[in-house]
Amino acid sequence: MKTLEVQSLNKFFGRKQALFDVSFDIEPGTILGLIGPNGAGKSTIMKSIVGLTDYNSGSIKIDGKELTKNKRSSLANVGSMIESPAPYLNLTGRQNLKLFNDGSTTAEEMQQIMEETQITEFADRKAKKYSLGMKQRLGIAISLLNHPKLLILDEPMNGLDPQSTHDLRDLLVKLSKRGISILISSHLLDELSRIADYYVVINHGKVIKKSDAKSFLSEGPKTIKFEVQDTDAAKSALESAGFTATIYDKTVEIEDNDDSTAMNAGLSALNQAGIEIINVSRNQTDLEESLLKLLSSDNNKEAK
Amino acid sequence: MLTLIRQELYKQLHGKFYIGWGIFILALSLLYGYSSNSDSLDPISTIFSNGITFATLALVVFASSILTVDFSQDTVKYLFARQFSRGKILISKLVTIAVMYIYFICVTFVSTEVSALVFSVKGHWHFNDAFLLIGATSLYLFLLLSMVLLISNIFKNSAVATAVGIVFVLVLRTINALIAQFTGNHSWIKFNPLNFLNVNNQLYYGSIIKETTKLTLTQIEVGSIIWGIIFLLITYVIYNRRNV
Repeated sequence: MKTLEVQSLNKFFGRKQALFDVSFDIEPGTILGLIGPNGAGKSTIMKSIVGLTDYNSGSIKIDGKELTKNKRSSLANVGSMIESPAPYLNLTGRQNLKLFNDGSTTAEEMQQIMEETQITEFADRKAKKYSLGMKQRLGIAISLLNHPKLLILDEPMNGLDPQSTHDLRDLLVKLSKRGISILISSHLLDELSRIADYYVVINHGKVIKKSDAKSFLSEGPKTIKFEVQDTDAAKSALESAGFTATIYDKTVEIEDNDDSTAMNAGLSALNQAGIEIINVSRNQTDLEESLLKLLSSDNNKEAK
Repeated sequence: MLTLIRQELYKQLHGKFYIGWGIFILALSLLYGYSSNSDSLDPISTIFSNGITFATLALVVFASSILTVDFSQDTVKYLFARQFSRGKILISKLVTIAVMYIYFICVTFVSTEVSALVFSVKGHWHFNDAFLLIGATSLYLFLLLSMVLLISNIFKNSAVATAVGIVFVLVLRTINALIAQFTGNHSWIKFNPLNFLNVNNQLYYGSIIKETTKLTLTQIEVGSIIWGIIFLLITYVIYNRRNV
């Protein structure tokens, strides 16, 4: 059974449609990255799933149960942190955890959550004295209370230093291995690409791509980078050979293909022009490039 | 439900509100005790009723922020994204207000007693009067706090609700005079909710107030409850439908 199924979700803000037939699902123990530009509708989707905002049509099933019919029992299985962490500022971290514990998390489990999210050190300080990173970790700790089967985390890496980001990444992978499904959005695409099993790309309230992480990246643009002394001469030599070449700093970049023909043709074009090649590298695209390409092609399609 | 009530009370217990206002009421009671003189007819009742007035103000402040604090601190995202219905969350907050009211009554009783002992205030408790005052204040607060909750919920702003609540408490006499001018020509105006805010005075002082409100004791008692319920229902509808 899928942990989360979102089907044909539509949401209007007044007359403006914010979500258009959004559909996706999450298998148990997997991490789904919800990505897209600001204002694409990611937070609205997350808020709809946890009942913070209503939706106009469509269905959301958590653990096989329709949310509208079993709202309370469904949400008992969900831990969330939407937009930003919001603990009670006049309480300490520990008191916040005690407050949001519905009674099902034992003292030992709470201690374990505090250790895993690394808040033990400052757990007895009032939350109003926390930095953004500390609040972020407390917010994640709160979302882990009461044994959730589904975690919904909106930009959980915001404000975290590199070490904390690394630790959070490890924690999320560990949680997914324990069978917890995770829906996560983040603008830190490099971080997200290290943990997500699947991606759903949202643009202007529509799902424009659903894919597993491997195929998503393999479908993106691949490039060959030639590091040369004279980039202008290299660019014109490559363009004469029929490539679209772009200069980046001391390199000239052309699009790669799956076999080696582009590489060979590029090298021979540069050799024929007598250009000294310092280094050649073949680059697999990263998540950011794939996303930008996808968004740009979707925006062009909409413009037409 | 019990979990929600426990959580609401836990929040209050770790706040400073109840301590601050408790000390304030004690200080005022001591001040009244110090300034009471032997000519006073019933100094203990005076200290007690003044304490109850400040307890009323404290509850207006408390009720106006109990809903809005979750919106201003964004904690509403945790509160609503859980398995509890918004109706139950609202009820837990009402129960917390009731608990806080009981607490303030106890504080007022104790403060009055302490003040009387410290300054050897003459006279003794008139418990019938004290309980009548508590009963009348309870009905009054039910209506007043329902209004305050509604206003704070509409504006998501505790300052507006506190201001309106305190205006109702402090300048009701002026409002009454204004209403009385219109009641002569249009008798239905007497059924407006502001007129029912005299319920405590009419219960306590009787016929003098009836001349202003033009309502019988039963009308003003039942009307206060009905208006209070109406305000709470509207509060619930807004609270339940609010998108975060």
